Amino acid sequence: MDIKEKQALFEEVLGYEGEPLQPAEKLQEVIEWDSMGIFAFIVMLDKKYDKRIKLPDVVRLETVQDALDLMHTE
Amino acid sequence: MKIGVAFPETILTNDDLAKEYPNWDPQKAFESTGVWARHIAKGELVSDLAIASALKLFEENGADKSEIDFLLLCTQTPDYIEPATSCIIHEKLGLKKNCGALDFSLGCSGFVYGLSLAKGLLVSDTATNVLFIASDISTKYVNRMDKANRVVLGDGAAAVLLDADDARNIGAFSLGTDGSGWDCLCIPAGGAAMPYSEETKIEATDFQGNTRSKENLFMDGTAVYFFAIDTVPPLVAETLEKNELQIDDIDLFVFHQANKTILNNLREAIGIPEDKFYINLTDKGNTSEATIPIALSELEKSGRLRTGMRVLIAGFGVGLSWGCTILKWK
Repeated sequence: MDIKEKQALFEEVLGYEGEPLQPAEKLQEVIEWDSMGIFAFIVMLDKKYDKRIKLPDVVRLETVQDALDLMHTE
Repeated sequence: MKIGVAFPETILTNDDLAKEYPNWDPQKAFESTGVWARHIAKGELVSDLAIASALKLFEENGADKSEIDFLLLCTQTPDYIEPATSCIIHEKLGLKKNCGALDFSLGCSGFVYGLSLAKGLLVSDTATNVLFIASDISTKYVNRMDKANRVVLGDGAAAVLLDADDARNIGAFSLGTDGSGWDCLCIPAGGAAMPYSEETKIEATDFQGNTRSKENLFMDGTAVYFFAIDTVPPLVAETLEKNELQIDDIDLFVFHQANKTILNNLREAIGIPEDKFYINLTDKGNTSEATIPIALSELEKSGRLRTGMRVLIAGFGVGLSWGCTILKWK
């Protein structure tokens, strides 16, 4: 999965429908990065990448790129 | 098994919530959680809802309350720290004096646990007619600015009446506990460990934008999700084995109605056909220990649940605690 596909999946999971998110964009400025969006992201990481993260791990994510970097299988 | 259900009068819809939360999408919330509306206790107490559900049960089934010799109440939001709310319900329902009354505190697994207690009372001849009520007003403890919990949770009650014949139609149980996760879902303040104080009233907003104090209900949704995904599939397998049944022998699967995402992922993980799996949170949300009997009542009234069917019920959540059994419907 290339970076564009990952980004599209990330946006789909959050239910984001605006202009494509920029990798440097701050997650706290993305309205869809709320409790529902974060929950959907965590569930997707578990199902698609067999990767489990906890809420404290999510707190450390600052940008869209940080979230995309998690989207791979170990 | 006879069932009566009751809800508080006030209904809060996602549209109502959207008026309070700017930039919050009510439709997206519905798609994610499966909840569009929920009943909210305004002045009602757990005992009020419990009594209303019992009266509905008596009215719809012609049950004779003078034959009830044990009252069990499952709640996490009792009227008082003491006495047991079941004693108050006993008095207000006018049950006879030689009738046991007992509260127990469990949430999402509580209905399954209650059936195990009721079955024990019946098969041991301790009681001949058990009135078991699951009643909760958890929204009373949810902060107004805690969107995550406010959208999912609702208040409600369900009463079931069981006799020895019903007990024979309740199969073997699988029950479990993992107390290491006690703080994943809790109301930290208000008990002896953390009495109410000025400090417990202080509100803080987390990075997801949800505000709460120590006097409010807290839920780590991610931890609860992983707990459910790890625990429920083996729980179902163990219960089927204990009852010497295969998954295909089950006509309906009724799990604790936690939220749509958890339920759909559990269904997929276990391999349950969609038409045998019940999800209905739309107009009531997650009513804690009352979700399973409310769902059973809905299924029976709609004709999907009929005499002779085998229903697997599974509860999981706060504690962390879980339980599962199989009912032969009558």
